[in-house]
Amino acid sequence: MLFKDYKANFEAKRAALKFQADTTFRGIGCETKMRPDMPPWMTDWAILYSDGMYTRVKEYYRSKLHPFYDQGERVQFGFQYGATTTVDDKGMPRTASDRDTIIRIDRDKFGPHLNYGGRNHIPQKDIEGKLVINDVELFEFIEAVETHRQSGCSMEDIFFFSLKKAARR
Amino acid sequence: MTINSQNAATLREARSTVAEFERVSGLTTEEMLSCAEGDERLSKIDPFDLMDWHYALDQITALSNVLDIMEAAASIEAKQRSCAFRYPRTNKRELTNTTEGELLLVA
Repeated sequence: MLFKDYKANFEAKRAALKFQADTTFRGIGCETKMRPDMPPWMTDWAILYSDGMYTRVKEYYRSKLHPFYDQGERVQFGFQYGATTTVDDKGMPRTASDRDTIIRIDRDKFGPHLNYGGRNHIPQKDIEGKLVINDVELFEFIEAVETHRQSGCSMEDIFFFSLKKAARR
Repeated sequence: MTINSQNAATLREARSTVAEFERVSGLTTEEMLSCAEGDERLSKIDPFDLMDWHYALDQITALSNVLDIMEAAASIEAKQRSCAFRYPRTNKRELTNTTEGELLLVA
């Protein structure tokens, strides 16, 4: 994916979202620092709800190998929804403790995993259903949180998954 | 890509991010890079900070590579200048306008 396509898609989808008037937003959106319109690039955006909850989405794209070096591929991401407990010096919510987390979907040095139901680092193999952790998209997550907030449906029902017995508390 | 003031600022900021990450995590960059997937030491690190660290490291690598290339290019250019001093290039136009005697003198 090219940065300009990614950015255009990000801005269009972000503009289409609807939130309550007292919702606040933080973060850089998406940016590339070294060369205009080239990878690597980072997206970091937070939604702070007036009830003390937050959604933060962050993902990192790196350049593909030659000859596709001008295209980025997602190598890491972290999508979180939980209670805002602390913020960093830029006002971005820090990762909530397991107790304060509703859901976190990450791909980092632990590989793709889920933090849910008070459990952390749940790998794909411990999940049943349609959820493919590595394939979750940024706006899919934000929309899922909005559905959860408005309808009260559980994240399991929204993402169509359940934890295997071994992964349950 | 050339190193301009914006790149230099990016490089400074990236180095500062990595230094801060090392300070907060208590791990050096080498230790971080050698951590296997699922290493317990990583569980204490905020995944958001981990992404910043990766981003900063990639910037340092890329910009440092450019600096290396620029230094190498400057070195080659200096050598070329040095060679040009010892073996001046012949100006073709001058050569075609010279008489045979002058050409022999040049040779």
